[in-house]
Amino acid sequence: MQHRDGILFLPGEAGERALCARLVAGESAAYRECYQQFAPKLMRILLRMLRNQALAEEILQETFVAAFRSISRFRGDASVSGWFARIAVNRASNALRDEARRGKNMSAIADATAHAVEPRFEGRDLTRKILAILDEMEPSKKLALVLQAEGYSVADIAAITGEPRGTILARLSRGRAELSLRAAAAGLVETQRSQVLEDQS
Amino acid sequence: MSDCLSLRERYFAPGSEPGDAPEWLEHLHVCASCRLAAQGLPLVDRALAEGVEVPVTVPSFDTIALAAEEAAHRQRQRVKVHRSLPFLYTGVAAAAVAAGLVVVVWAGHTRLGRPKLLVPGAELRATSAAQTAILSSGARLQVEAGAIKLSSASKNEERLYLDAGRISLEVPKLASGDSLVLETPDAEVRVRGTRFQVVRAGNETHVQVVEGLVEVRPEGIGRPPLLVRAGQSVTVASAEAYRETLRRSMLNTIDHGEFTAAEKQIGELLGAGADKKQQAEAHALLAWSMAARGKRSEAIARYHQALGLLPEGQQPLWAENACAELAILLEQEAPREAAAAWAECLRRFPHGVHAALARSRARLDKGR
Repeated sequence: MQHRDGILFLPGEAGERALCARLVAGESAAYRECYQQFAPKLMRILLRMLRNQALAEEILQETFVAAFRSISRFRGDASVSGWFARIAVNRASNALRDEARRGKNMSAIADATAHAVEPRFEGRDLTRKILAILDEMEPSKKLALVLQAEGYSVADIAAITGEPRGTILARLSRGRAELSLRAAAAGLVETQRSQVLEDQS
Repeated sequence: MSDCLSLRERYFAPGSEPGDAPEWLEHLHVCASCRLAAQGLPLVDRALAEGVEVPVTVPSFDTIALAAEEAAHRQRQRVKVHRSLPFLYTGVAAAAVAAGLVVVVWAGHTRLGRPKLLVPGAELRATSAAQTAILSSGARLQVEAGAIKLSSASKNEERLYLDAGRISLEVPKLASGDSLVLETPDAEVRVRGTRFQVVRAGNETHVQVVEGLVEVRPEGIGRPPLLVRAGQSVTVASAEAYRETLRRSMLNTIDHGEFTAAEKQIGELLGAGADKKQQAEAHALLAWSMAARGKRSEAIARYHQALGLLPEGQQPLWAENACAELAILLEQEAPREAAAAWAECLRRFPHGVHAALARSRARLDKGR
C-alpha cells in the first residue's frame, strides 16, 4: 500500500476502483493523486515510444487533461490505468504519424535527445544497451514489450492497443526472442555470461 | 524455420518458461538460433524489469491543476444532475401523464361535445338524451325534447321549425342583415345573437330569454310583435286559440251590451286570419250589434255578407238566427224584399228552429 499526503492507496483492482469512484464523484484531490500514481508509468511508456522528452511531457499532460474531462465516459470495463495508457498510446501514435507525415525525421530528433531521455542506469550498461536494441525494434513489438514490463496483462495490452489478444501474445513471444537474438548478435549474451561467472567466482 | 517460430511463440510467451520440455530441448540441440535466443532471454527480461524501476522526470501536477480542477467541477455538476435525474424523470413522466390525460379528456370532450352540423332539411330529434347541433351561422342548438328541423338556410337567414318540444339556442352575434328565425305553429322567433329557450307544447309557444333580445312575432294577422329581453319570458297562443279567445271575448262583450267594444273586437277577429265560417259568424254578430244600435241598413248589409260567406250546406244556429233577423229587418226597412228573405230562410234551413215562423211570414207576405 502507498500512503501519500494522508490518502491511502489500496493496491490492485480495489485501489483502482476506489480511485475511479472518487474521480467520477469529482473529488479534486483524487485527480492529483491519480496523476501522481499513473504519470511516471505513462511517462516511461511515452518516452520509450517517442524518444522525445518534450513531446512525451506534452502528450502526458494532454492525456491526463483529456482523461479527466471524459472521466464520465469511463465504463469500467478495463482498468483505470489501462484506460489512461490507451489514451496516452493513441495520442503518441497520432503524434508519430503526424510527424512522419510532416516528413520530420523522428529518429534524428530521437538520436539528438536519446542521451537526455535514457535513464541513468548507474553502471548497468548492459541494461542500457538492451533497451537501446529494443528501441530499434518494430514499434508494435516494442510497445507490447514495454507495456508488459510496466505490469500490464495481455488483456490490458490488447485493450490499450486495440489488437486481438492472440496478436499480442505472438508479438510478445516473438519480441522477446528477437530482442534476445539481437542482444546475442551484439555480443551481450556472452558479456552477461562472463559477468555471471565473475559474480560466482 | 517454421518450427522455430511456433516453438518460440509457445515457449517464449509471457509466463511460460521453456524449462525441460522434451520437445524444446530436442529442438535446442538442432537449432543454434533458438539456443542463443534462450540463453539471452533472462538478460532481456532483467533489462526490461530494470528499465521500469528507473525513475523518470515527470512534469508537476500544477501544470494541469487548473484543467484538472475544471474537469472535477464539471464532473461534480454532472453527478449532481445525474442524482436529480430520477426526480427529473419522475417529474417529466408525471407531466407527460398529466398532459396525456388532458389531451384525452380534451379530445373526448371535443369529440362528444362537438355537435354535428345541421343541414337544410335535416331534423334533430331528442331521443333518450338531449341532442346538440350547430348551424352554419355558428348558432348552437340543443333539443331536449321533440324535434327541430332546419327548414331552409340562405346566405342571410336560417329558418328552423319546431312543431313540438323543447329547444335551447345559443346564437352568436350575427352579421348585419343576417338573422335566425325559429318558427312554431304559434309564433316566429327572430334573433340576432342571443341565448334563449323555446318550448312548444299544446297550442302555445313559450319563449324564455337568457341573454340578449328576442323578437317574437305571433302567428296570425293583426297580432303585434313582442320584444322579449334577458330574464323575460312570453307565452304565445296559437292563432286558432287566439281567435277563439277573441271570439269568446267578443261574445262576452256583446252579452254585456258593450256594442262599440264588441265591434272593435269583431274587427280584430276578422283581421286575425279567420276562416270563412268564422268570418261569417263575425259579420253576423257585427250586424246584430249594429241593429241593436239602430243602424238597420248597415246591419242588413252585414247580414247579407255573413250569409254569403257561409258555405252552402252548413247550418249553424247563429246563421239560422241571422237569416231570420235579416228577414225581420227587411220587413221593417224593405217589405217587398222580406218575403224573399223568409223564402231563403226556408230554403237554407227547412227544418230549422225558425222554419215555422218563416212559413207563416212567407204566406202572410204572399197574401198581402
